[in-house]
Amino acid sequence: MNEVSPALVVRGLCHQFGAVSVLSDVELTITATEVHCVLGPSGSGKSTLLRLVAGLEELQVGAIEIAGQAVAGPGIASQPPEARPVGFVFQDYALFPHLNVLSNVTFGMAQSQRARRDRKSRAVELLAEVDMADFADAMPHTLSGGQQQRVALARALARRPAVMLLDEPFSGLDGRLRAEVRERTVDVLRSSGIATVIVTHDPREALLVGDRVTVLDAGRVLQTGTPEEIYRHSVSLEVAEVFGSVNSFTARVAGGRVDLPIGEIGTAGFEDGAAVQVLVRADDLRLEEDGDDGVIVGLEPHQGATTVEVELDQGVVVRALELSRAGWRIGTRVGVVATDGAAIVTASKSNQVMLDR
Amino acid sequence: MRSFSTGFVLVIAAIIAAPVAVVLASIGSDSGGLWQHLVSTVLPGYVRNTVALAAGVAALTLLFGVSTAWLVTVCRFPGRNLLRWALLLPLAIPAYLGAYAYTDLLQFAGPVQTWLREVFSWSRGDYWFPQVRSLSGAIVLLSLALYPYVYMAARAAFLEQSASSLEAARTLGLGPWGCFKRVALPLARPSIAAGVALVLMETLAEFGAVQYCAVDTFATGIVRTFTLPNQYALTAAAQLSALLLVVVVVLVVVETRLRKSARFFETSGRRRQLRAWPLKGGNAWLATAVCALPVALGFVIPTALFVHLTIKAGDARAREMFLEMGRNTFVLAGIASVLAVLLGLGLAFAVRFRDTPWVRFLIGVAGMGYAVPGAVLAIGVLIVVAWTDHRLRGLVQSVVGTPTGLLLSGTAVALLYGYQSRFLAVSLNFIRAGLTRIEPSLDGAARTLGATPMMTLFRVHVPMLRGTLLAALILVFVDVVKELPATLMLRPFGLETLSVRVYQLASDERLSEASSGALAIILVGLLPVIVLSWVVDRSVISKS
Repeated sequence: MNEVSPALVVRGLCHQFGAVSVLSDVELTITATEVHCVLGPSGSGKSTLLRLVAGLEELQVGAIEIAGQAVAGPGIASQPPEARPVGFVFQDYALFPHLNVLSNVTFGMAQSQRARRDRKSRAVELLAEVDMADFADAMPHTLSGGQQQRVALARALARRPAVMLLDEPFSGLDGRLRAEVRERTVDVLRSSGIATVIVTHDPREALLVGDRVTVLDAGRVLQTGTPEEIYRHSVSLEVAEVFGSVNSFTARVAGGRVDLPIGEIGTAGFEDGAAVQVLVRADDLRLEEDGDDGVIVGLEPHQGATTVEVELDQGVVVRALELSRAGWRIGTRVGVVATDGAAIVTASKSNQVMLDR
Repeated sequence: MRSFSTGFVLVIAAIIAAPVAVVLASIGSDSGGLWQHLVSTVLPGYVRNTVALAAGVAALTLLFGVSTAWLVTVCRFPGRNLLRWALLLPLAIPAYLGAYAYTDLLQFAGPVQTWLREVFSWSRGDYWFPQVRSLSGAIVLLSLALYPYVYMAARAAFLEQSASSLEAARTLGLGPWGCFKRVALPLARPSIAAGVALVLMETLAEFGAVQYCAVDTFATGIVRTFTLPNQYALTAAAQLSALLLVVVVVLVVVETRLRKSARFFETSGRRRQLRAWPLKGGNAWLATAVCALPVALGFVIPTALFVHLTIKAGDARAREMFLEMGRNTFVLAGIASVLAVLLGLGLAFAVRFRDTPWVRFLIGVAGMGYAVPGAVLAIGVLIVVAWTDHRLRGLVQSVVGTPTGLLLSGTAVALLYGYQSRFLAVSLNFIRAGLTRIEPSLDGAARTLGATPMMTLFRVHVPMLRGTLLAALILVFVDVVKELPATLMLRPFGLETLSVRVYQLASDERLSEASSGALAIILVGLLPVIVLSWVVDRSVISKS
């Protein structure tokens, strides 16, 4: 394969609204054809990041490069949004209410380059791709949320951008429709081969959709990696907790392992005496009826599973996600075992070693 | 683009605001003792009358406007659908026409008193009859002409309140009156207050009707002072104007604040239409009467009178003159309104791109002319135009070598300048309200689809604002047609428009001759009524 420049490179991006810092030192590289999810709670600055890339927000500090071309950065005249090869799907879809579906899709097509008929046939093709060909003459307000989303997608694709930017594209939809639209959208994006950045606050969505995921919190990138890396090898408790309940322990390495209340865990890569933080997801802890490590102190049933809180004899409370509906009852004594290889070992931030929970 | 926006706003705002600034700048100048003379003689009277007039008009317009708005919005009674828009009709009649009409109807020799005398066989002095040409007469006349502003504001606010908050109030045990007092009115209060602020500005600016009613207010005092045979007359008039302007500025600030919190045209989210309350029996007819009264007094009766007079006598030279005056009026109002919409669009769009305190301040300044009495503004325009002519003459002489006459003074340019100064605010506010309805994400969508800011304006905003722009155009057009004092003072020599002709005939007590011109003004004035009733309903009900 020959060398292809990344579709999008963001370097050292910082941004403030007044005195409030919304993004600090953000780095991001999106390879061509990649679908990349930026995951973060509301207010984490993820929408601002997209708007900066699109040029809808004036860059303050840092540099942005799209398809090998610098579009904003120190010493460069910042390109206006209309000059950047990006497609943007807005959270509220932002269809032009005075234009029908077809005219919305042809809006961004270069007027001079294509004959009117060409533009129309290309637009119809795009609409067919998102299953909206029958609605070419419809006005936006007559469409459902899912349909509007698909038109917005077709409209953004019509310019053949180098990067597609989707700002919470599925948050306006609910339930099964959301899953359907998401699947279809990702299919269309993948078959188009256009690098895509999807901003979302839904961790499951990010893991499901992204080739890679960037976890953003309070304007900082916490981790970037494949879903597997992010989930299995979270770099910190903060990242791990994004995807569910986590048990965290700190301990000192002795003989290539640490001794925790839930058993011994291997710590390959850490020297003896190093302080480490060990993270074990609730779904990686197994309870054993005939064990004797602690007593059940809390039950929190949810759909298809139960989170069981066990107070270990050392005084720590751990949480385990149990799929079975076995009769866990408060006050019963149980054993607690971590699934092999499931623990995430990271360097402890504080040097002080104590049992966290 | 950014510096261009600020520059554009700066230049336009400066030009538009110049006449007002010139007037204000007169405060410090020497008036040769005339100012002191005014203060010791007539000023207390002006203040008293103006305050009384403003208070009376505010109270009456509140009463008419809010009660009728509430009734037609939430109650069902005979004639409700007709009255809902008919209540706007009095807007078509400038207060001065109402004054002419009622003076004619209610004077001693008029039909009403004559009929009373015949029925009761009274003679002069046997009975008391209200005087139209009095302070209370002026209050009633102005209220009848201006209550639609309060009505519109209140109705828009009532319509916007979600049906669910009223339904919730009902499930909590409140009846219609309780809902009104404890839910609807508090929610609508900022809007209503903004409507009253508009009414007060119009009241302070009113010249024709107040003059005709022989009430000495600031507005009439300014014109009278201006025409004094005294070399300091202009200065003293300008100083009186400046005093009035201070009050106007306060009103403008209050209105702007209130409108911000009221959000007249906010349309986000889905709202259900309020289910109307059916009124029964006597109550229903009482509601009909309450809503029909201002329509009858404010529109039907004066219009009927003018129709009657036109048929009976009419303007002797009516036909040929109408053709010429109609053309003059139409051309003037046409140019002025197109200009106002273009400038308003430019300014509104500049704010959307560059919303800084500075730009907002300048826009506020540019929008002040509307609150300034036409006579005051005319004085300002005369000063500014004369100054410019002076400069131009010097410039031409230095370049060409020969002196020229006055290039702008006494031309249609000065008149059009006056109109922009006064009416730009109308189109500007309308267009800005329209722009707030367009989600900012649409701008973003257009930009990321390759449209420059200019293209975005013409491909997204203008088409979406088509209705709003048309409405603004019509509103300015009609305001120009109705405008009296500024036209009177700034028109090129010999140029006659409908309003000027009607004023001159009415001043000469030749009302039956003035009637056809008055009728023409009313007919043109009906246009914005239709537009406004459409806008109020549409802004609330239609959603994208």
